[in-house]
Amino acid sequence: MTRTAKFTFLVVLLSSLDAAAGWDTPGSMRFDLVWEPDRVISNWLDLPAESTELNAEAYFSSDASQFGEQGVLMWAGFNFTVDGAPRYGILLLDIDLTRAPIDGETPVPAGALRAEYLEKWQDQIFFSGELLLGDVWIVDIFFHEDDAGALEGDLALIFADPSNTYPGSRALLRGRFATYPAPSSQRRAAGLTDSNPNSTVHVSSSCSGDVYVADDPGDGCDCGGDDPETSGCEGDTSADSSSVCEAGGSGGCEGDAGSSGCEGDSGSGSCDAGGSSDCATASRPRNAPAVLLGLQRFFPEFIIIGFILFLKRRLRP
Amino acid sequence: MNARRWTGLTVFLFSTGAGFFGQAEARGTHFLVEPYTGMVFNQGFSRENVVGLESGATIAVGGKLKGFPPRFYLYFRASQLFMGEADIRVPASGALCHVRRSYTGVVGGLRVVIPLLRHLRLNLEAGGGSLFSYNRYFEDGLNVEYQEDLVVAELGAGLNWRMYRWLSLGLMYGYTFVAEEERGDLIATMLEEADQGSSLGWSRLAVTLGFHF
Repeated sequence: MTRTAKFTFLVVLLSSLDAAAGWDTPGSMRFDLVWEPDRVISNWLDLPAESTELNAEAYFSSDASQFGEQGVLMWAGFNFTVDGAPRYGILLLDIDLTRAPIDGETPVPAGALRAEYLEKWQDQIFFSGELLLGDVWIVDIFFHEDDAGALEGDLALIFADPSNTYPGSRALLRGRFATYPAPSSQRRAAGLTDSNPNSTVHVSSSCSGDVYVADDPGDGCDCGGDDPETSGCEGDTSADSSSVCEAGGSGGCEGDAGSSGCEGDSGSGSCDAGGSSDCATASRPRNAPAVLLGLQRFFPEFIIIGFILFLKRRLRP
Repeated sequence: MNARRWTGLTVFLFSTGAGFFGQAEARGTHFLVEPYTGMVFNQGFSRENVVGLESGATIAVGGKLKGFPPRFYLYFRASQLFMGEADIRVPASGALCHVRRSYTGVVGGLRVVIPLLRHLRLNLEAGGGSLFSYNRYFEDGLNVEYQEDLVVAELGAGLNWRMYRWLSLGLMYGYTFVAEEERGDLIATMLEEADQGSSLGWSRLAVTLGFHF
């Protein structure tokens, strides 16, 4: 192999290194915080009645996930007060999205979930706990080959310290998290438009075992009925918890993981019940021809090789 | 031997060497190996260390077009940047945290060498590649670390003094910026840094030692 060929090989090899895919995006989280200073909350019926609704800044990163590129570590930080004293809470939630059902109804399996909760003010730790009980539901997802993935989901989590260094429990209930931009916005940006632009009904099925209808896709886990257990909507016993799209009478859409009516859903898009016209097309975008993609992918390498050959020709005595 | 004596000895050796071997020739070469070291300035993370260290090496191959003074080189550069450990108070909680970042750069591009005086040349560079970052955040009770690949572009300019035909000494200023859409950075968001770390850039001032063959 000549010196030029070796150099060319090196340049091509190194320029072919690909960037990681996944999520690397800011977002937000909203939940009700239940603060139990003394005893461990061991089941959903044991929850104190009092809770505080909080908004948190969040960040979603696949790079920081212990599950790798197809996982996402969610960080959420929020300020609140306890008896007038300031506190800062931090939630770390790591989800393996390859094992996460994306139907909005089935919770992420326990093995595909890691969560930590830390409560501090300045350098004093008031509580540090691991996940004791809880579920996370992926409501909507948008996969992207770069870092522009988007995610939306619900959570209900209870934390306790297994070493009992920090007594008590913390529970995050009726939680809703979302990246910014949201999956529906990313789909629109990618040219995946709603299959039925006249549709005004947003259907989500974020509440475990229930389907609810919301005019605003960002309404969060607010199931349309009584939820006696205040346990993040799971076990909702709403009287109107029939698994249909009530508004507009378009039945079906039960398994829709999207909050915008099945349009071009890149995640689950199961749309399995009813066959409504709103749920007719749940397909991935068509790719460009392979030859064109290959040309585009290796365009810099072609330019470099061309330049070297040009120089070699010019420098020939 | 202190630094001043080393510097004096180096200058003396180069001076006498130049006298012994004669003037550096204007004729260029086709290959270059150029180690460098210098300071790097973080311009994207507003609460973290501003100054770090960078070292690396550039390999270049190129030549000259007939009747046109500048020489053109395709270069490939590998580098390592250390930003050190920054001790920062988290604005939202007042907690003391520590942030460490380091980067490994792999970039390539085009260098144009323009002769100014007999031994003095102006180098202009433009290129692109990848920056592999290692990021660690830790405070009492919390530890987050991750690696990230960034697609970057870089621009550079500098002066180069050709002491011999085979050796040159130079000073380069370069600016590297993220060339892909970045919506933020996890640590930058935790620290409430400007733009959540979405506008990253690093400038570099480095001394280069070029071996031409």
